[in-house]
Amino acid sequence: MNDVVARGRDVGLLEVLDRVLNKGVVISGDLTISVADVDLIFVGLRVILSSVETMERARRMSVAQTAPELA
Amino acid sequence: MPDLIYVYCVMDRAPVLEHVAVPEAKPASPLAELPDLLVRDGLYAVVGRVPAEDFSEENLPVRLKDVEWITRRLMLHERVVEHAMQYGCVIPFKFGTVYHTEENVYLMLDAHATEFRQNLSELAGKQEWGVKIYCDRRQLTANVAAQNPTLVELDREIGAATKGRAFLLTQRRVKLMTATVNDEVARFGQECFDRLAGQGLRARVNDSLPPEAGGESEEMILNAAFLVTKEKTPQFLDTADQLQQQLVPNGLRLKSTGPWPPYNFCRFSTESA
Repeated sequence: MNDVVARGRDVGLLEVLDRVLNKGVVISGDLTISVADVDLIFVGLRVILSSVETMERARRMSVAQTAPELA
Repeated sequence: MPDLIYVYCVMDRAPVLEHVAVPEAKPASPLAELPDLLVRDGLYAVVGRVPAEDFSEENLPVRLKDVEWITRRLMLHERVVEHAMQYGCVIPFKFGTVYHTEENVYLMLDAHATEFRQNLSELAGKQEWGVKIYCDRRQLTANVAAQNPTLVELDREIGAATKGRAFLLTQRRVKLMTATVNDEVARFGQECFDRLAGQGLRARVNDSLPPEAGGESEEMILNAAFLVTKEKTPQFLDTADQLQQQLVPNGLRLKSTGPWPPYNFCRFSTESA
């Protein structure tokens, strides 16, 4: 991250959960979240994800209205 | 109950962890959240202490339904791994890998030491980039209707036909339109993937997420990850921008994100999903 500008990080939770929950090294811990658990998390997060996205859109729109060059 | 040990990632050099920006907890519980290092033979496990109550067999299912808790834990996981990544290559763990004792973390490091080292040396100097392509089917359909010669001709015929014949032709049009739009989606997706994969060392296509997962009104048609050397990254991103410009008039949108910890590119022979 030092030499390349990070882009698209406003995507937030969706991108994060697509990796943190679905990918990454799977090594059995003493306790490990199961696939069924992950499904459960997805169901719960759908609600919050749609609201996060809506908020970000609203924010982008208000930015666009006040400062078009930043949008 | 003593705290449990949550593993975020493994590295072969020590990150400075004092300045990790930890998402706020409600109610605040600052101390338990600061990550820590467990070191064994040049391998560093970046870990956190988590309350045993949260991860116990009876409480975990309850916690996993608690949207605020799970959101915070997911963001914390990502932030800690991203922070560590500033100090060197990381092997990111999947969410929710927890040990009872430090000794068990050391045993895990020992058991997988060779694989950790192989992955770390293979991934050094490389970055993971994510590319998702979304499709607005209404716009793509309108474009196809205007541009596809067969469909343009069919529309002309329908306009001139008798009622009965127009009905039959319209049925044909629906089938042809669906097939053509699907072909276009596949063609655009494949072309973008091939061009980006040509810039990367490795590429991976993941399942597209359902529309309700992101609140996106458009349909995700490609969910891909690419492993790119740092030197090639500017070229890779230029290609992504060029593709985005080509896609937009067709009702498609390309979103590139990164650099990510290499969630998609760690190779573990055992126990990997």
